[in-house]
Order: sequence, then structure tokens, then C-alpha cells
Amino acid sequence: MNHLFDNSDAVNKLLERYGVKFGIYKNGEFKEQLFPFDSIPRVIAKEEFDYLEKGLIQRVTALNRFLADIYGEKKIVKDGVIPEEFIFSSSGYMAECEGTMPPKAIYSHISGIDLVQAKDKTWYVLEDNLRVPSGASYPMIARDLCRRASPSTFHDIPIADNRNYAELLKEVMDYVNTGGINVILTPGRYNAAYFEHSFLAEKTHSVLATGQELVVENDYLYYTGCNNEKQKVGAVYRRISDDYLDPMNFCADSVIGVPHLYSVFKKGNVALLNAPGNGVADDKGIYYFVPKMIEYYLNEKSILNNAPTYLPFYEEDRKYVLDNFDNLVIKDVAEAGGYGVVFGKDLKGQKKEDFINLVKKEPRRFIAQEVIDFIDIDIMENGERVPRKADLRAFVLTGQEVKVWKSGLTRFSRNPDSFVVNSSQGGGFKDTWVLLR
Amino acid sequence: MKLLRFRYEMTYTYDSPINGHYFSLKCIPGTDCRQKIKEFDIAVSPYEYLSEEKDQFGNKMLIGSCIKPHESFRVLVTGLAESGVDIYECTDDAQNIIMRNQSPYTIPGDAIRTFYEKHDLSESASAYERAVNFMRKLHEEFAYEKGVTDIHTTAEEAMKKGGGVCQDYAHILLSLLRIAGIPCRYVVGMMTGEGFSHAWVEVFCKGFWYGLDATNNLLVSDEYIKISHGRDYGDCIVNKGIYKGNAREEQRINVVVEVV
Repeated sequence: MNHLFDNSDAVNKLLERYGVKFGIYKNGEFKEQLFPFDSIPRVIAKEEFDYLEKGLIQRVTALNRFLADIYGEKKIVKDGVIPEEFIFSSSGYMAECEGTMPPKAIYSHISGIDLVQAKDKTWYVLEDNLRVPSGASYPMIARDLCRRASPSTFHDIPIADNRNYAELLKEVMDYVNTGGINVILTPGRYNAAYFEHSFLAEKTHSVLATGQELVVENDYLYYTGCNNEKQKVGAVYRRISDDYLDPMNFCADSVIGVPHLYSVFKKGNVALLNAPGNGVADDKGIYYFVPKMIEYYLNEKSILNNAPTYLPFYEEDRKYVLDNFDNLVIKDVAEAGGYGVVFGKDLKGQKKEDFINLVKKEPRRFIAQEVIDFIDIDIMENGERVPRKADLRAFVLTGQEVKVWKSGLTRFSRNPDSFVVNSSQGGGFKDTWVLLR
Repeated sequence: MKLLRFRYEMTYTYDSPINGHYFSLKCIPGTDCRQKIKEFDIAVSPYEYLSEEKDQFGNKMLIGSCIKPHESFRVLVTGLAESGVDIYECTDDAQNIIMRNQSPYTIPGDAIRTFYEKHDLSESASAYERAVNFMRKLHEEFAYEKGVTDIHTTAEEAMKKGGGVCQDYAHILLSLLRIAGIPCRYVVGMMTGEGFSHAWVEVFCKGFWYGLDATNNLLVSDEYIKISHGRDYGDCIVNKGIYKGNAREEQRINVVVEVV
């Protein structure tokens, strides 16, 4: 294994050569950054992963049921399990999606569930990402390059091969495809995850297209990219957010979407992965209710734990949050990517007072969580092993069956004092090894 | 009960050709318990493809495109409606949950909350009575004034300005009713006379939807034809379109409804 670590620089150089980057907008300027790779893997034992797998399948199954319910009968609201304020005024709720059932009744085909492991080894789910979760391509290509750098490591240790992600993804696309080619819809090369879009298109034998290469005609979607010969599209793995997907149905200013795409979807003539409207289920406020959802729809206890969470919306919780402010992390439900996260202890004086007043004034906007002291994983820094905070994004794919990819994206914070691991905040990534025995 | 002949004409002219034009039209009145559409015709020109569909609230839509360059776009809707009773039954209770929650245009701020505190009847009053009371007070305190608001103005912004048009009256009334948790919806339609389309509110009370025209402080009668309903203006846009081209658009809308 040391052989692998010695070749860390070589792997990073290759990643750079293959263009494994992500883009970031700062002060209105677009910059591409390397996503630093650390070759010390996160290793998950077989029994541990079996447990995670069961829990993730259960969680994603319930979330899909929830989405079908919310845009349909709304039983969970009528039965008083979730207050309607958390749903219909959420920015992720899209009224346009009312009454539309996606092909095969699947809303979240690709789900990215963010987990952390506490020091006592308990796993906690921190966040569900059901809209356009990204990141699977990074461990895929890193594994490939690591195998090249140190073949013996992968010969000697029984590690589940993670290079099958593309097959899993293709399986799902084929399953929901309504007849036609598979397309990956990208906003273009100035998108943060453009590397991933092109990489996954190649690996799944899909066509990589921008909105301008797709056109709606007579209730069907066509790809017009090559030779102006129109090809019917049956499934679109879209890497464009709901708002920009179709200027006729959502945000009218969108120039990267496809006009009338949503109408084709509504008529059942194309599959969209993931379905529009999923934001209502991965809202940070709804997160609190996921264990209740599991009980409600599946009649089972939640296998995975949520981090202890409080909703200032409830008076009792609000009191707790204000009394224990310094011990909690407070998150703005409308923000993502590590933005809008405030640690109570970091706020002082006027700033603290202002923030507390904001929470009191707009309680629906925030959730508060106990700070979980999650485990450190070693990284190599200047030739030395140093501990850093790391999380895990597990990928769950829903097609005919619900499957968990036997790997995941382990992200770490490069700053020793930080718990924020998002790539947009300067973190790096590791490979995730799931042991076979 | 009245027989109403209607004509809804929209003409858009461009001072230089536009292309890549996609549109979605919600200008097709449907038959329900309140009205019966006896004759109907729609003419769109130019177009390259047209397709019918319904939106999430059951409103009829016509979507289509015209990719080739053109310098004008015209939609003409004509027909005959039998407009009858003033109230009608609710059929979909799942949608009432949506309709009692605030939507993008109706989210209240301090101005609307203050108005609400000042004028809400006690909870012992029925939803209908509370709605009519709000309508009356709104008519007294909010001025009909063109040009101070536009199609992007929210209920709260309009309330702060103190004046606006039918869209604003409707949004404010919706916002007030939703603070009280009463299901209500935005309606686009036509009324007798000549001019533009009109907007009003329907409020749900004890199994029935009642139409309230806050702009005129009137209950909706058999001289109104409903075209569509939704949470707010955003769900009921009559002609939504995008196109390419650097042209100045001139829009002419003419609505005529006559009692036969």
C-alpha cells in the first residue's frame, strides 16, 4: 500500500492531465481548479458497508415515495406527519410538477447521501441530495489511475471494484428510457462539473449535449447535434437545475434549457433524471422529517441516524436552539454547497444578536444541529500524515432495483480547524474502498 | 344565466424579424359547473407546430413554436359561453392544500400583515364572510391606479404602494386569505364590455368556490367568463413566449364580451 502513497504526486499529475477539475465562480469570474486527490483511502469494512447499504436503500425508497405523494395525493400532509408550511412554501417545491408521474414512478434516480462517522463509529446522515448530486466521476477515475500506479495494492487487498458506476447509471437510464437515445444534458464547459458530464457521457455511451442541440417537436424530444439528422431522445440525464431546464415552464430567462422539454416529460415521452421538483425532498428543513417518512411509508424504523436536529419553527426547539446556541451549527435551508452554514460559537457581539433576531423572525428558514465530532482521516501533507475531517457522499441509484454503489466520494477539509468539506470551499477528495470480506 | 359572445385578440408586432419563437397559450376557457362553452375557435398565426395539453390545475393550454423569421404574431379566440350559477363545487381536495399556502406573488410582509391585523374578522366568521370583508376594506383603502405596478409586482409591494390594477387587488386578497389558512385561487377571465382580460379571486368555503372581484368590489356574476386559475398570476399567464431577435415588441390586446 505504501507504494500507492509514494505515487501520490504521479496520480495527481495524471488527474490534471485528464482534466479532472471543477469550476468555481468567484467575484464574477470563472476559474477552474484542480480537485486535490489524496491517495490514502477511506476504508469501509464489509459489515459496515452492508449496514450502510441497507439504510441507504431504505432512505432513498422512502424519499421517492414522499415525492410521488407530495406531487400527488399529499397523504403525509393530510395525516399531519409533516406540516404543510415545510412543503408548499419551500423553494424546492415546484407547483408545475403537480400531478405528473415520471416514467416508472421514479423521481430520484441518482441520489447523493452525505454521511459522516462520529468518533464513536456511529454513522449520521447529514444531507440528502436528490437534485443533481455530483462527484461520482472523481473516485472512478482516481481508482483507475491508482490501479495503474500500484497494481499490486489492488491485487493483494479485496477491494470492491468501483469502476462499474457507469454500468449502474446506464442500467437506470435504459430502464426509464421511453424510446430513443440516452443524453447527458450539460450547461456547457463553464459549469463546475463539466469534467464529470463529459466523463459520464463517454462511460455510459450517452450523447453529451447542450440545450441548443436538443429540440422539441410534435410532443417528442430530438437531438440535432450531428449532421442535422434528428434522433429521438428517450432519457435525459440532465445536469441542469430545475429552474433552467425549460424556459417555458420554469425560469423564463434560461438560455441553457430546452423550450417545452417539460411538456414532453409531462406527456410521458421522455424520462428526466432526476425528475424536476425533487428539491422539495432534500430541503434542509424536510431532512428533519425523513425518519418520520420512513416510518410513515415503509412502516419501518429508520436504520440510519439523522444528526440531532432542531427546527426553530417549533417553539420548544426554538427555545433549545437559543439556550444552546454556542454548541450548535445553524444552516440556512435555502443554501447549498457549504454556504449559509454558521457555527454558533463563531458568532460574537452584534453579529450574534443580529443572527439570533433573524432566526426568531424567520424560524422556517433555519435548522440547527448538534455539532458532530466526526472522525479524522489521515491525509498526506508535505510528506507527513496529518488528520483532517472527512465526510462521505454515497451514491444510490434507483432503477428496477435500488442499488448502492460500492464506493463513494470522500471529501476532506484541508484546513485542520474546519468541518466544511465542500469542494467549492477548497477541500480535496479521497478514494473510498469497500472491502469485499 | 346569460349567453355571452366573446372575442379575445392578441396581436404582437416586431419592428424587425424575430425567430426561434416558442410559446405557450392559456387562453382557452373550459366548461365547468359555472359556465358552458358552446362554441369555440382559436386561430394562431404563424406557427410550425401546435400541441394541446393541460397544466397542473386543469387549465387547457396550447403550446407551439415558430422557428422561421416572422414580424408579427396573432392569436384570436372567439366563442359563445353560457354563464350561469355563481358558485360551484370543489372536486380536488389535495389541491386545496396548495391553494391555502402562500405562493411566489403572495408572500406577505409587514404591510399586508398590518392590514390583516386591522381588518380580519374573528375566526367565528365563515371563510366567505372574512373574504368579503377583506374585499370591501381593500376596495376602500387601495386605489385603482394604472402604471404604478407591473406584472412582476408582488402583493406586498403593491400594498406598500397603495394602488394598482386587478392583478394587484387579487394578489393582496389571496395573501390575506392565506394568512388565515383559507384556500383561494387566482382567476384570469373576461367580463362584459370591451377592454383587457380581468383577474379575480375564488375563495373556498364549505365545499364551494365563490368568485370575488376585488377590483370592483363585486361578487362574480353571470357576466364573467373564467379562462384559467392557479396560485397566482405566474400560473395563469395568457401568452408566455420566448424568441430570438433584437426587436421592439408592440402589443395590442382587445377583449370584447357581449350579452347575446
